[in-house]
Amino acid sequence: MNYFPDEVIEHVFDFVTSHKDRNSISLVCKSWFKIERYSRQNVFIGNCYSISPERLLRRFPCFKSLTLKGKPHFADFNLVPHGWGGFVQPWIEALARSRVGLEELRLKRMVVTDEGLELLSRSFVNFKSLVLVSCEGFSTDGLASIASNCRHLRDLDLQENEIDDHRGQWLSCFPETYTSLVTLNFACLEGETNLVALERLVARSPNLRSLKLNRAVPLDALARLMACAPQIVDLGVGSYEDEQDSESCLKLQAAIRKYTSLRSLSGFLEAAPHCLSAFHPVCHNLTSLNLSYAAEIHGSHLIKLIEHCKKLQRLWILDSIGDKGLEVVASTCKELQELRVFPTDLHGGGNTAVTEDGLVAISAGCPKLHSILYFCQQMTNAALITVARNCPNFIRFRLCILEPHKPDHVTSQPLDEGFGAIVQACKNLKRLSVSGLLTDQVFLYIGMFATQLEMLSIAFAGDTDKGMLYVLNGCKKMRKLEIRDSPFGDAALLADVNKYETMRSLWMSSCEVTLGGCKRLARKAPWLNVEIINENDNNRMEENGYEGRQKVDKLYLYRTVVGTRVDAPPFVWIL
Amino acid sequence: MEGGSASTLSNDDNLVVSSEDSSSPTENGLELRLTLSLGRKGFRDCRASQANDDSSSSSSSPSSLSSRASVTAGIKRTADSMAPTSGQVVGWPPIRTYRMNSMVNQAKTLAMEDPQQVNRNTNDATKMGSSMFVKVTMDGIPIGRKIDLNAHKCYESLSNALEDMFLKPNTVPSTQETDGRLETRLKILPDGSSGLVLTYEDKEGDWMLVGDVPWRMFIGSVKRLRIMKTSEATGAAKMNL
Repeated sequence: MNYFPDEVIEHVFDFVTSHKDRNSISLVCKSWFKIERYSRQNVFIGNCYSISPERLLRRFPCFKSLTLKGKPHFADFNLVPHGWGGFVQPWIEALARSRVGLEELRLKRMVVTDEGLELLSRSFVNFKSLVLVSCEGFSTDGLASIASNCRHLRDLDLQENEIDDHRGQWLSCFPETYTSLVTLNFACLEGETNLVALERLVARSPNLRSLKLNRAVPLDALARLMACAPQIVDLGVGSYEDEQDSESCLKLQAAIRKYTSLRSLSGFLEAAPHCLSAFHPVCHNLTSLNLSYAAEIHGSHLIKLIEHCKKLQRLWILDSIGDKGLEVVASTCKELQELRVFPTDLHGGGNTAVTEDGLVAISAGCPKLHSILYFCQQMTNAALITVARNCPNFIRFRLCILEPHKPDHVTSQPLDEGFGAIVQACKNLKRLSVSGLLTDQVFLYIGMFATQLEMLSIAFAGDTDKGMLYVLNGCKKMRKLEIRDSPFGDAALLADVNKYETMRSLWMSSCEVTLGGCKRLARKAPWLNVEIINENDNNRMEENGYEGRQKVDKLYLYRTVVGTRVDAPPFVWIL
Repeated sequence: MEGGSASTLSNDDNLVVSSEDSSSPTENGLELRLTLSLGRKGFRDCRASQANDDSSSSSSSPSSLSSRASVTAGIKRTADSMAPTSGQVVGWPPIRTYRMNSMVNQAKTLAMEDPQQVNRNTNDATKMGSSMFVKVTMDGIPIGRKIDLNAHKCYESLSNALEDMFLKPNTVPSTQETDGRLETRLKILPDGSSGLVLTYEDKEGDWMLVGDVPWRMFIGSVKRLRIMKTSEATGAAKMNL
């Protein structure tokens, strides 16, 4: 390869798109490092505090797309207090000052502001794509800046963000000359939507492929929108309430018949179930169906819909589908790859919930299944062992038994053997979440068999430090480990400090680690940021004199090349 | 100390690898499981008594339960500390806040349609993953916040939390208006001393003063909160009359 001119090598590198592969390429030799550096188009930063924007720009001066993740995963469940961090502002400012021709920004769990969005919209002439997932801190005013200023915008994709809806006119801020929209997802906006502006925008967007509406778009508006955009591939229906408006229903049915390109359907935030049949004509082409917010769709209406969806690859559903419904899925959806079953009744006692039988049925009927997230009230080892036998191809296996510490409901045993069977059979398992009653034994199995495991979520499990040690010693590819309410302490934390250099982050909350242990860790590993998050008065930890032995409420540590961050709030103590 | 546990680990490894029947517990394992089942039974007994007693003032918290049940920080500190159930633990079940709020809002919508459901759904909202987030805005601050009403059992607690949220120096963006108010308590009933009053929008869309009705009734009908200046509140009240 050394005999080729750089341009040729660069051309070859263009075919290498995965971040891991490009990182490997850059390690081969100095010349490849240099070529790769200047040609890297997409940069992925899994922890925004692991590196600074300045260092990023020095290494990759020519990138076009940046993906940044901020808060740790458990922030999704309110375990990280407001104001912890993950601010995108310094990144946008640094990029704006530089000469990077940013085209795409993808953020997850970060704090975004209206000022930041405005700066973004004004700084990058070719900006094309904004994807925000689980972010917060901004309002529709920020969206208005994006709409007004980004002449070449293609994607505006807002997924499950906390957006302050000022009920303004952000949709009408897209200029009349603007016609390049490809993706528009504003399902998470709570307020009213300017329907006229929306219809005009959709009507002048011939390239629109993905449209996800919020609940303020009623049935008649939906019918009109669909009529002028039959090329849509991915549709998120907002409110689907049929207020006895048969004319709209007819218009909708007519529009749907033209939807030959539709592959993905979601939404139905408020739905009159009997209208679902309007979508039956397009179900046979669907590869993705997300009804996980459609609480009012269940029973026979749901089953009838699913029976038409023979090509489904991805299904997100509520547990109101029941085991019987899952059996229908198992016999109908032979192409199914990913299934998520969310709970509707969180305090137990629901008789429409799914059980281990549903999970077994799916595993038996869907040979291509590789990703599952399953919330249920009960589980057995026998079922998990059967699932493991049926489906050795799991890449992601997340099981959440709603009641902490719940054992096998038939034998009253811990679920160690069940999860053990899963990790033993699924040689490609990359992500695992465990639940129910679990002893150190399950972690022994995980350490022994889950050789490819990259992310592990543990809650209310284990007995002693040995559990955590099995995992740290055994799982060589571990990147993210998150633990809550489990009896792991300093001995496990400190056993192998260098392990954390191979991982992105470790989260431990309500465990047995002490302040003294964390301090020792911080001393041994200066290349880690060891954060203690203490919502109660932080200073009390020092004052009472037993500080060495005081238990730490929340510990979050991560490797970084830029040392202690400067934007930490008072309740975060970086050791 | 760390060395000791490491060598124990390797012993266990050898045990597992060399034993013929991987499912037969070692003596230690058996002991462990016995202890566990005793612990578990105690936990279940506690929960059984919990389920029978609906009132939140039950304080049958067996501190003799196994250490797992006493994991403290994960459990929400209420005045009566109860053993953990899935309805009481912070951040459990692991469902995104966005989805959780969506579920609670849907329950409320159903409640609006059927008045008899109100009480049942209020209970549901209280137990639903222990979260019931509503928006709070304060006049003069552009970005709103959200507060979990289920984290509180009375108006005073709510008032204190809102004060922390909006009036503490390091959480509020610098505006002139807040500088002089660091010491003021947010009065629920308007007595004019703080210049601020707490109001809420109920499920019928009316704006009401917080504090007039019993807490449970408030929880069942509140949609969002707003901290207003007293002068504006009086003006609005006059208009309603």
